[in-house]
Amino acid sequence: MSVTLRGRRRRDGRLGARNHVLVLPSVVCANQTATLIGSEPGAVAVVHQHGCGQVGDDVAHTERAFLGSATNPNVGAVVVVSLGCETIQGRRLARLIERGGQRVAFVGIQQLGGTFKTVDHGRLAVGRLRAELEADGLVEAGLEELVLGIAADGATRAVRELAEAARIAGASVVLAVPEGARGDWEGAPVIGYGQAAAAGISVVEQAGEGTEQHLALAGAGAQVIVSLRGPGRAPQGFATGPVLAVAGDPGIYAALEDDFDLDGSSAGAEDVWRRVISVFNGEQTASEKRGARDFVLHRIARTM
Amino acid sequence: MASTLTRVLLLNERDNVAVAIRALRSGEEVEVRGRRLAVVDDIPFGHKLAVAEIGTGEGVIKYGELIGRATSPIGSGRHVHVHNVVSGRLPG
Amino acid sequence: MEQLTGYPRPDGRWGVRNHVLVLPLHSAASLAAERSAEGLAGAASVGHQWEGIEGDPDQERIASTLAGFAANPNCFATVLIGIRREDTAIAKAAVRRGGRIHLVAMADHRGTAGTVAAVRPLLERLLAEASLTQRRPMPISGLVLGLECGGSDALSGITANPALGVASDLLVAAGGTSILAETPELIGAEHLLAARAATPEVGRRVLEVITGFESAIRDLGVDVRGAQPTPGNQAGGLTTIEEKSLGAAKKGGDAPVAGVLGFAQPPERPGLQIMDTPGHDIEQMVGMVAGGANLAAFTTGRGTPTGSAITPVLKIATNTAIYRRLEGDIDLNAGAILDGEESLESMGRLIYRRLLEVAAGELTSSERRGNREFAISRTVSPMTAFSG
Repeated sequence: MSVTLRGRRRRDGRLGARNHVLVLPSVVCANQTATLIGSEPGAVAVVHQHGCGQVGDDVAHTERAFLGSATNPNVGAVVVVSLGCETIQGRRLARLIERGGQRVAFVGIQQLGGTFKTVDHGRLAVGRLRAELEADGLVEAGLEELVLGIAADGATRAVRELAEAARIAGASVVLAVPEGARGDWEGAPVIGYGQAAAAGISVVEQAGEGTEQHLALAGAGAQVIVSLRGPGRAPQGFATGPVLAVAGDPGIYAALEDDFDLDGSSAGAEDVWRRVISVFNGEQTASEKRGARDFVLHRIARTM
Repeated sequence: MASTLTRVLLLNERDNVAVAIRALRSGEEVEVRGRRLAVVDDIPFGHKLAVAEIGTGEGVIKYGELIGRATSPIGSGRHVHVHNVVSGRLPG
Repeated sequence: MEQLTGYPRPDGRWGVRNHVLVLPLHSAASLAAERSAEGLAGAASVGHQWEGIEGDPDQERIASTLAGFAANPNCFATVLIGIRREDTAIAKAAVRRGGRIHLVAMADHRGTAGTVAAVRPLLERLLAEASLTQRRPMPISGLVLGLECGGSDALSGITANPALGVASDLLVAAGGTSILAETPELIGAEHLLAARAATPEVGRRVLEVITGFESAIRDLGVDVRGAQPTPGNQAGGLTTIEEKSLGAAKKGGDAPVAGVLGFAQPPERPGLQIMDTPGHDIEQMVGMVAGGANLAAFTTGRGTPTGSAITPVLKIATNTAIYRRLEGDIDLNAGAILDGEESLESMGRLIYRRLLEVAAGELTSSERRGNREFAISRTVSPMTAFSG
């Protein structure tokens, strides 16, 4: 088994396990336009239901989530698709992404004059950015460049063992668990939503529950996410990164075997850890194979 | 509703603001309630200008209804917007 | 005017479209729903992010939204994709609300690929059946019109909204139903609406719903100035929520308020209804469609291309500049009122006529583009809900 990573060296020095061009609507109203742009080869469009009618800390939190997904090292470039009148202003978001060291293009529906013109501009931008991505060369690196994200319902034994295995191998581990379910990591360093993972084991705050956690972990820079859900929970992925979905019980694994990667009742921490390395190096997870584009945001206030 | 010469709309006789239905430049004159009114600030399309003096704390009236209160004195012909009006219902 | 036509449903409601919808009951089923409908003419699908995690305090509201959406009369039939076959509550609720429902469980098909392989033949069969049903003469009372404004500017309350109000009054006078929603965008106009209530009880409910939303916002203790009015509203000249609301409420015309509906709740009688929804364009549209709206009219000042997977949405510009700029995205131009080409009355009649044509089968711009935005509306912040 090789423990060396192969990935894309980003301009900020981090290592990407994937090389996506993300098409990111700044508001739900731009979803369809983003989807049409995302049909261009080499692009991944996400859809979400946010960006408008939001208030208070929820606005900054959402902006951090978008920014975090856009600057994750698995993403080499971003096309921000804006409507124009939204709360999360697309132009400002594009500026923040650029300031975060990322390649970015901006297209706005109201600015450019409608869906079709915006789709044309967006597709051209994807092509241009795709070519620029080649500058991020494929390199080999050590395990200390791996940031492993673990999404979980609580601090179970499986989570503890995987986190320890990764830490001992030299990787950084960032955990997303619901508030109040941190267990053994009650005293671990806590990183704010959208902040980079600390060395060793850290916990990301306000990560939410379920698939929401994937976005929080991407924002902390995780290149590979392991989902260690409790019994009965359905497997999910993430739009711009690999998620290893480990079934919480043999029953749900048998029922949804095609969409899971591993059965937690038979796979131990070492098995999962080995898969993490091969997934980093290009092996596709079940969610990547089926083309899942899950992108779920943990909101901290209701919509206006 | 509007002749080609109309530049502002007064929506209700009780209103103390009118709506610019084309961009107005400072120094222009417009007609409101049959009288000439000097435009003091540049007023973007769709924005409001005061058609009467509005004192601090006084109600701003549009559609004949209260839409907020002045946070500073607003002279006739001045731009009326978020810099000098606050909502009475959902203030910041 | 030509006779209106539509599709009669077994429960007495009418559809103006004859879609076969694929609707996921869980976020993990969204991809299967999309893939199942892909490339099949007449099949519609939406995706969403709800996982139905145990203890979700909005469970009932969201389940009712999904059930109502599935049962909208514009659907000839709806295929619900869930995780387990035992999870039948939403499917049963959709049947009670008049839907023709098929439930497919992913757990019976080992995941996404097997589910798609099972759903596609079912869809093909339903689509073939749907294609055999003919439009029949339909009474105006079969129309349930959702009223919406989004990306508002200062012209919204002067041109498009009052013109749509004229159209809404014509529909109500002819025995139809109109739904006015966007509760936060009625704050400051509630006294005018309450004064038009058909009964004292309805008037009390109008005030209760609108001021209730207001106190919920106040309780958040946050600065809402960036959200209501939105940055785009402010750039367009709207200063306060009261100003936006007074303009927004004009969509409801002058008709008496016949009832007040909860989110996604179907109207019990015709006339002008007020539905308690957020101002968020998509959450509102989904709420009205889930409540049974088979037709929608959406005014816009800044321009927005959004639509619905199953209900035709007629877009109306408030000003000529945005209509020209976003022409492919907008159906009608109420800016003609300011240009002196139409009066409010004539524009209102024009909107009404176009709505009847759309109901009779003419496609709107958002239908042609395939816009099908969808969102789950919550009342409780998930953080408050889940942090225990």
